[in-house]
Amino acid sequence: MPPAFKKFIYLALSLSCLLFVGVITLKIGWAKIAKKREEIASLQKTVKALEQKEMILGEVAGGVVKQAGLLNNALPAKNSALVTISQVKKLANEEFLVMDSLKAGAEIKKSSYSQVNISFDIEGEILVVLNFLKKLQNIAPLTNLDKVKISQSITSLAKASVTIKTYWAAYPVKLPPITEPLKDFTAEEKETIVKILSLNPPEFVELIPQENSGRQNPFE
Amino acid sequence: MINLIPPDFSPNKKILTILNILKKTVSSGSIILVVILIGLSSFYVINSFELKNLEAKEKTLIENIKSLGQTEQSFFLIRDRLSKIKMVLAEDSTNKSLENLTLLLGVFPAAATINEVDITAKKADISFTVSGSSLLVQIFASVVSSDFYKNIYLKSFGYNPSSGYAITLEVVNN
Repeated sequence: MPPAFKKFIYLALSLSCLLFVGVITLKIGWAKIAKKREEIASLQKTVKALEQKEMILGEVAGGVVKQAGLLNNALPAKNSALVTISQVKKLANEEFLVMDSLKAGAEIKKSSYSQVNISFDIEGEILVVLNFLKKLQNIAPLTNLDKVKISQSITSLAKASVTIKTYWAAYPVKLPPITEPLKDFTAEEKETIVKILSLNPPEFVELIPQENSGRQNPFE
Repeated sequence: MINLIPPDFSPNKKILTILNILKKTVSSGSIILVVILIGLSSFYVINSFELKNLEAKEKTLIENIKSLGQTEQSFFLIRDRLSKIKMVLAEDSTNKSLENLTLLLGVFPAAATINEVDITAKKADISFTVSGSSLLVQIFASVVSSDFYKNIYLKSFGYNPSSGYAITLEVVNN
């Protein structure tokens, strides 16, 4: 075999190997880099969302816990009938109205909250009764007037048969994943918060445990 | 050095050129491949560092957010309550009817006696008695001039010489 031909074969093989190695290296290398870039892009998105979340949570950290408690008064997690009845009675007392025939119905389940109807009769001056009914909108838990029938004669006070609806909703079962982006409250949500925070919250009496009377032997 | 190979054995000039081109291609190709390999490796290393930095940043942020756990919980609770409160507030209620009625009764003359009021979400039925026709005209004027009702229907109209006019109006909210 002439040496020139040998050299030609050697060079051709070298070139083929070079091309083969080049193509394989580029393919594998580029795929690895592309995967890394994808990971970086996804992580950048997550980091951005987390930064925003940290910023929003840092901003609202002061008042949000208290606000949650107050909103919880407006829409409790458990049946709100008893608290609403207590609120209605308190309001009737404040307005010097006579309350009678108080009844609470069964739970009515809606898509994401529950409702109970409370009916009662109330007696007093008609304008006072109307004022009382208006004030019912300002109590927490949230109440909606359902039906009102007022009757009165020349000799008697106005008697109103009222049905109100009060609501509650169970708490969410789990928190969304920590990496999920968080959006600040919208203007509409902020407006609702202000409206709800202006409602009159129920008063809960806290019983303070009594101190030991000092009597060591109960049989003495 | 003396070339002892006969001139007939020396390779063809064309073959020599091809071999030369091939040789140059192989050597320049090798250099290009090495440069590309170095470039790719550097780019890969830079990306790995960037990824590591981002992972560290993510870890720190998650720790910070975890320390704000109670705030986060309250935030989600507020959001949940707000979405449900919105639905509750959108429910039908007689609140508007009551508001309109209070305004209307505010302009009723004191001499008019309200006998019965039936309020629902969309309308209210008001039954009242007035002794004289001048009072009746006054009441009708105030009802008609009020702009918070879409329709006003006169449901019944009666007269009794001892008590006067007995009227029932149905007022439909705007």
